Amino acid sequence: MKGIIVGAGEVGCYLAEQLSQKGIDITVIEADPEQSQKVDEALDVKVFHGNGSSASMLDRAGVTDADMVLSVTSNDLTNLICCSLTKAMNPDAVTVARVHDATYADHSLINYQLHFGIDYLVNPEALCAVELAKQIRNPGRVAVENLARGKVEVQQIEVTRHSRYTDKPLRDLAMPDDVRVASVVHDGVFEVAGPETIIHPGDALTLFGKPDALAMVRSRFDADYKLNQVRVVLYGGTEIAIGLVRLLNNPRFRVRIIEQDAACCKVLAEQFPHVTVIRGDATSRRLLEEEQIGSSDYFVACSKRDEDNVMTCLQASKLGAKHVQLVINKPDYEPILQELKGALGLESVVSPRLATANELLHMISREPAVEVGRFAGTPSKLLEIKVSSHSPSVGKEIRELLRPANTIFVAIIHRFDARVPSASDRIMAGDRIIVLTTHEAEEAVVRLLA
Amino acid sequence: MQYSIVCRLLGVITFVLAGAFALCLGLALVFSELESVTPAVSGFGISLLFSLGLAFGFRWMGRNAQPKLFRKEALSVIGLGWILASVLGALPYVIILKECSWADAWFESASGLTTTGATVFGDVEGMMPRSLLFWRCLSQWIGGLGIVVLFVAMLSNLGAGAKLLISNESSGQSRDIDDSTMQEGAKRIMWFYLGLSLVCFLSYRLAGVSWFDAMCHMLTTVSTGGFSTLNLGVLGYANETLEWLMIVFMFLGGFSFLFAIKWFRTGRAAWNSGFEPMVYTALFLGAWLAVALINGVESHGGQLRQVIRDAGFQVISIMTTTGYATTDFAQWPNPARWILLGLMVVGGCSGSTAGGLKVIRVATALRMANLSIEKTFRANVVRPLRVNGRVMDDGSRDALMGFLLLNVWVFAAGLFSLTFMEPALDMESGLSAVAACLFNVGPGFGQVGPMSNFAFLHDSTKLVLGLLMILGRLELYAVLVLFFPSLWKRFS
Repeated sequence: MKGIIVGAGEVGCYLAEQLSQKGIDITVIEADPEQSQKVDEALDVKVFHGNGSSASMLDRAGVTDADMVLSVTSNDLTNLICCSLTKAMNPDAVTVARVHDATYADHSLINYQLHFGIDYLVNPEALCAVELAKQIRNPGRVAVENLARGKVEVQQIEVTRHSRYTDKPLRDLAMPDDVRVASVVHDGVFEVAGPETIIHPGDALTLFGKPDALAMVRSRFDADYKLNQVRVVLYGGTEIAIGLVRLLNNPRFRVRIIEQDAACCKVLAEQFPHVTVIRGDATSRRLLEEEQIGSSDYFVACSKRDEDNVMTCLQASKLGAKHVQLVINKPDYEPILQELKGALGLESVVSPRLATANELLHMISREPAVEVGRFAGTPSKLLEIKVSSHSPSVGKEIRELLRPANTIFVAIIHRFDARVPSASDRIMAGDRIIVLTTHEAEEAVVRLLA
Repeated sequence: MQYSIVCRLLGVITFVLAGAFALCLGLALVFSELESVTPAVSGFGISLLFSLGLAFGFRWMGRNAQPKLFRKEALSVIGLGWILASVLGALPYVIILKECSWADAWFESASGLTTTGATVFGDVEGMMPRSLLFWRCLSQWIGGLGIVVLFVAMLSNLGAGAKLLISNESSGQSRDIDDSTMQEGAKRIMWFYLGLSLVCFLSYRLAGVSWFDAMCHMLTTVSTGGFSTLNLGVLGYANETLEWLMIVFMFLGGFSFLFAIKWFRTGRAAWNSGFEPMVYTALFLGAWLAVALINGVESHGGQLRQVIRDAGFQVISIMTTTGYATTDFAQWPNPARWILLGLMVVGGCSGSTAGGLKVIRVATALRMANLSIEKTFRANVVRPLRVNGRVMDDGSRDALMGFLLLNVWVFAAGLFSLTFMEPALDMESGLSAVAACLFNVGPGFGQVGPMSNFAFLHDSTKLVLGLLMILGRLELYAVLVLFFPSLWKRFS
């Protein structure tokens, strides 16, 4: 297999390394002379020094017989052009673009992905934000998986009390539309949910759906889970912060952003009226004390400077913030911080580079079914299955499919939009379906969908 | 909100008041010649005990206080402290005077501490024992300097909090204080004030006033408060020399203390920041001339000396928001009264004991207005605005405009609440009552003119007017923030 990587920054280098280790022939195009020299010396890949958005450059790099082209420069526009040219020169290649600006994710007037011929759009900052939001939205030891860029969540919870959702068969329950029960473990017996399933207090329940609706339903089942006001403080008005603000738009989250640059503060304050923007230097202890950071629930350090991130996290933790989360931009620091995580009292450490690289590797894998999650204590697992054009399920509605036993369709990702499927949704080629299934049923499901 | 440091500092304020009560108690004992327990003695005794108890209570609640003071705590100390002080200051009136309601006592006490000088008591000579008269005047003297300035001078461990406290209570800018620590600066202001008071007292004594009256009037002149020990006020002395002396000391009371201190220390160099005192003097002289002319024309040239003296006295009295009256200026011709109303609004210099919006602010606002007019036909010109030698940045400009606008809102709110509580009050009296209280002047026009008092108003009106006085003295913010729920809650 052959691949071209445009842009040898941190993400590009990491990807090149991982992919070439998997046996794929990688060619790297990099515009900066020093950087391209470094990569040439460090990795066993062919390096071209030039402009990745030039057709002749791509041709020289062998785009016509490449299987995949990953455009991961730090410039969104270069990435878009590169993918567009690739599709023109080689329609069969898988194109991946890294895009920061949320403008290009807005498909209301024009679908940028379609227009530029991009198969997968990756936003490193949004991925980090999803990972961080997972913790913020679900404190405590709850097994949560984020799917489809954080739009669908799967949670495993314990039912601790009677409510209007317990002691009745599922078909009699009036649960909100965007929440479904996947499976129930009752007295140690695992059962995939069906219309006759009854939930009792003491059961372990697996739910999936939109995060806000899930939070609401969860409070019904779990007496200890209260929907309190959660105070979140973000240090740094970066794209990760913006991504987090978008994910935490439920009114129970009170978000504050501390940012030093005045122009950035202005833009943030105008764009997000429900967020409080504080202009100041978060490394100043006095500012943190005056803003009463010690009484916040979450402190997320997501600025561009790693050193400041670490120190402000420690400071916030010392002042009394309940949970602190850290973003590390330089992958060099990542391993040591993972090691020190427990000692420093950090709840989570995320790195945009690694998150992107992992996501890309996951996306370009050729396997039809990929495991995306597993729940301890149950024999079930989450699979993501790509529906190919010769799948027997193409064109059919979900209710028409012969579903194997113990299988539930958790989410359907159709053209970059993810949702909880209803019985009348039609499956198209190119969709990705996330199913909760057991070991035994796995093969049957894969045959059905892929 | 760190309640412990707030309690601790409220305790200090209560101690200061207790000290003042102790002084008055001493005086009451002296006047009663230790014969019997007069109402004054018992009144001040009870007030003293109560405030001491409260002070110890606050001290105990704030025993674990960290000396870390942020803006929230500083503002609430000032706002709560002044309201608390006014309530405590009302105790002597309520206890000693038989028919004094709590609203009357609150009004009088607030009028004292905020150096307003409006009164609800028509017959002070007959009703009040001398120690109570002394307390009335002493409260103005304390409030003139500022309770906070007093304790900043005494407490040394406030750190940067001292700056916050001083800049929020007094109208002077903390950057105009040249000393290296705020405590030194506050002490210097205190010494200046004491020196001025001493000179004033001696001058009044030399003018032939009894020592008690000289003391009381000194207390209310230097603080530009306006309370008197006589029913007729200053008129009761019929002493020309006294009136001229008062003109001088009222002028000094409204003069910028910080500028004066700078002048003593650095001489010529201080004139860089001399803009405000110059405008103040020019305004005083100009208004004096104008009023004298108007009144002179009105009286057809008769009694010229008295007309000139009265014009000067009244102009400086109103401009520095003192409130003494040697003539019923409510009867003056309209142009003169309008000039007085305008002077009420402008007030004295910043960093003085006078009230009003302050000369520097009004002058700067006018300059800003001029610049904005030029900007309409010449949009690209860049004209920095220099105030006291320093260039004014956008933030300060916004703050100034915001403050002036907020005054308008508060004034309007005061007017509307007044009109609903006192439907029978005519517009002239209503407007001047609100202006007199908000700008800490004292007498207004019409029914609340210099020859009458505020006694006829309802209790609720007196409560609101008292609050307006405190709002004006503290330049609005320290009291207004107390009404914001987010001040009391955790930031989120």
